[in-house]
Amino acid sequence: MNKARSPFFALLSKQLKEDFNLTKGKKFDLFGMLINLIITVAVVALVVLVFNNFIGTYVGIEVDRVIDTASRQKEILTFVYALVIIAGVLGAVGQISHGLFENDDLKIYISLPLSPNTIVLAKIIAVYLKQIVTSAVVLVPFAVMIGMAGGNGAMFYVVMAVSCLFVPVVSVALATLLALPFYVVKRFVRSRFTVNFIVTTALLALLFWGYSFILGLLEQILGAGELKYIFTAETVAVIAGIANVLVPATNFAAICFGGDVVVNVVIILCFIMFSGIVALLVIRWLYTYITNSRLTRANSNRALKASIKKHSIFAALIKKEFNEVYRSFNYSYQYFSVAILMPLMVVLCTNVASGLLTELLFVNVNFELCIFVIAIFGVLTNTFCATNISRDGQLFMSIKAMPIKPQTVIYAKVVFCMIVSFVSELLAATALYIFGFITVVQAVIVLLTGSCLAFAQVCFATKLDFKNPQFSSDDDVEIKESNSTISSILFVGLLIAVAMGLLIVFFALTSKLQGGDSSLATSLCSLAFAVLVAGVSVLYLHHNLKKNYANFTGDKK
Amino acid sequence: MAVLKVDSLCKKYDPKATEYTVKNINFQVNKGEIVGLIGHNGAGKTTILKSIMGMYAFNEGDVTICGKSIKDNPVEAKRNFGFVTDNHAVFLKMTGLQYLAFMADVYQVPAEERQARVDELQKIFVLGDAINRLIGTYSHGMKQKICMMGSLMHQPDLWILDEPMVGLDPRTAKAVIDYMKAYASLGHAVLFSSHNLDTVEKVCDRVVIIKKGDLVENLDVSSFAKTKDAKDLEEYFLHE
Repeated sequence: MNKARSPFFALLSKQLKEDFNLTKGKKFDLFGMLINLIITVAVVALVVLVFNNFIGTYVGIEVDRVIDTASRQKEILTFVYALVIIAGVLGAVGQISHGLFENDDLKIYISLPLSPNTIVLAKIIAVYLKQIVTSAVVLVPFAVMIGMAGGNGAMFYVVMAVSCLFVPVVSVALATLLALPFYVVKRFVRSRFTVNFIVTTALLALLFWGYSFILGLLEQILGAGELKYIFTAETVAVIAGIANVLVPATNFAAICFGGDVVVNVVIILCFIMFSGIVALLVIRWLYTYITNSRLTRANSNRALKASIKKHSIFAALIKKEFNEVYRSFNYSYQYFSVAILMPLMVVLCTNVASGLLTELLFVNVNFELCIFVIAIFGVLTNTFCATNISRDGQLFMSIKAMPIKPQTVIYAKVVFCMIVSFVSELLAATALYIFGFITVVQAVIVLLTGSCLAFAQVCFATKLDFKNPQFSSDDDVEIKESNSTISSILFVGLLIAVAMGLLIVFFALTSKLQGGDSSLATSLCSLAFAVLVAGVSVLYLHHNLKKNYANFTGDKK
Repeated sequence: MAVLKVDSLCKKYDPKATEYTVKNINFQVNKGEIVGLIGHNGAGKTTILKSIMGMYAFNEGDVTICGKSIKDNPVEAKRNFGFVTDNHAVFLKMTGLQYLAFMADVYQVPAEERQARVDELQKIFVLGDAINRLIGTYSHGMKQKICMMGSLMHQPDLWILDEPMVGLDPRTAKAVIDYMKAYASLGHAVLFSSHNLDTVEKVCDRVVIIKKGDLVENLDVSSFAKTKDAKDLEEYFLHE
């Protein structure tokens, strides 16, 4: 007989199994895991490639004709710790808010003989354990790069490794303090759909802006080669000043270099204890109140205007899709916000890629680059369509009992996705034209190619989800986690977009380097390919649709 | 005249299984009739209802609604019934009124008749101002009410309900029972499944009893006491 576990360990184990997708009976998402792994390795490789060069240069900077390697190392390390702490706080706030205030398992926990302390602690520890993994992924490569640049001894690496256990404590302690206000704001915003949409779009835009800033910096670091002239004595003094006030990041960095270990440890402990204790007290105090209020008042009771005007069945279904997405906090962000901001990302990435190619190879292949970039971002935006059927949950079965043709049901979903996708691609193509990357005719070709690829992806995604629906068991039927269909669509979509994009960019480069111009040929080939893929996708979607619809039960195959 | 005709219906979930989940089901529901479908948990009531509604494909037999086969002419057949499922699956991101408008669109209810039907249904189910709120904010009983209202927007010839009384307060439950009778008296037909034998006996003209996937009885409730050796339906059903 199994030994009885304490309620705390039982809850913690359940939480971790859910978080790491290890729940028994749940289909293992191999594609999803592979994609995550590939993306992580690629990002780490890129970071190492770029920052190794930067760190090497930065630690060798002379201030007043003196090279102070240890100080420069400490400054870089402080910023790395600060970044990890901030990123950790942002991630943990969402995780704690969801785990403590939104998760459906609370409905069960609240009626079980479990103290709020046990529930709160189990959920927070689970968040902490996940944070250790993410912190280590960032800290370890930087430890190696910084340590190698300064030739540090083994002790440096040991302290860095140990700090991976303590840095998340700071992030989680701060996040615990911020989780409650975040939840209150989120709750206020989520029932106000337009405000929700504006806020999430603005936040995402801010994130993209940050991303573009980093991209710009990377371009400068890779292209300029004049880093030493940027970091003058004054600039370095300002950087050192900022690094010194970044508590507790500066204290972690100081410990790694063996400076005032006791004092720095005490400061970090005080910081953790203060924020942790305050946060735990506040949450413990308000936990039962919040849980009860969530259970009894799930949403705003505001009245909304509606008309009973007549629409066609197709229009009614599209309106239904729109309401479902626009009025769901997660869907609205995942789809509309991402689609609206896609043009911004396309322009930023094209700008960076175009700049690099022009600087390195002195050729202009902007047109081909635009097709490449728009194809990739189209794939990322349209991933949302991989839950076209699953999003309805058991309602899809109710729709089945209504007098609607299967084609109408499915095509309403495809058309809704395509409206959003087309608007997004149109904005992106227009922006590329306005910023002077392409001509009007080229913009039209980019738009057509992108739209055909997007249409193909939507059709494939819808059919795959139709064949293997994964309904949510939550009360709000929202799909909150990735599934194998999403991963497959993302993986295959990216593979096709990257292969096609690289091929046309390669042909354009080869042709231009030899003095020719293959723009017309590559554009026609890519458009023909996109039309072909779109055609195949329609056939795939249509194949046995009536029969499959009649046999649909919502069960996983 | 038969509004619903279930003819030799057989259904199994696993194509490889040798046994059917429901087998050789034959019954019909005539105009003006209320028919109750009863059986223990897992007997096959929901499977039969979902097969009738076209939610589940069946292996053998046929179901015709107002003369249209659900197998061969599903869209036309589905126009003739309104349904309420046991899980109250309803669009949470719509307001009650938007849901009724959606159902009116799907069943192509004429524009000029819509408001009158909403008003009439409001009198029966009394959702009040909640009709303008998101369905996601409704209680279990309110969701049941809006499902019923939606299913009646097009005044179907056949009203199908799976466990309709679950979650309803006594006043609404009585209103639903009264409405079933009134609806049937207008020449429509009602088919519902229930575990509440008392209600079934009070409301229904006929009762179909399902046991382990078989139709074991198709009883006329009015002549039940004379033909069977039991005090009431409950005693008979439990004894069976």
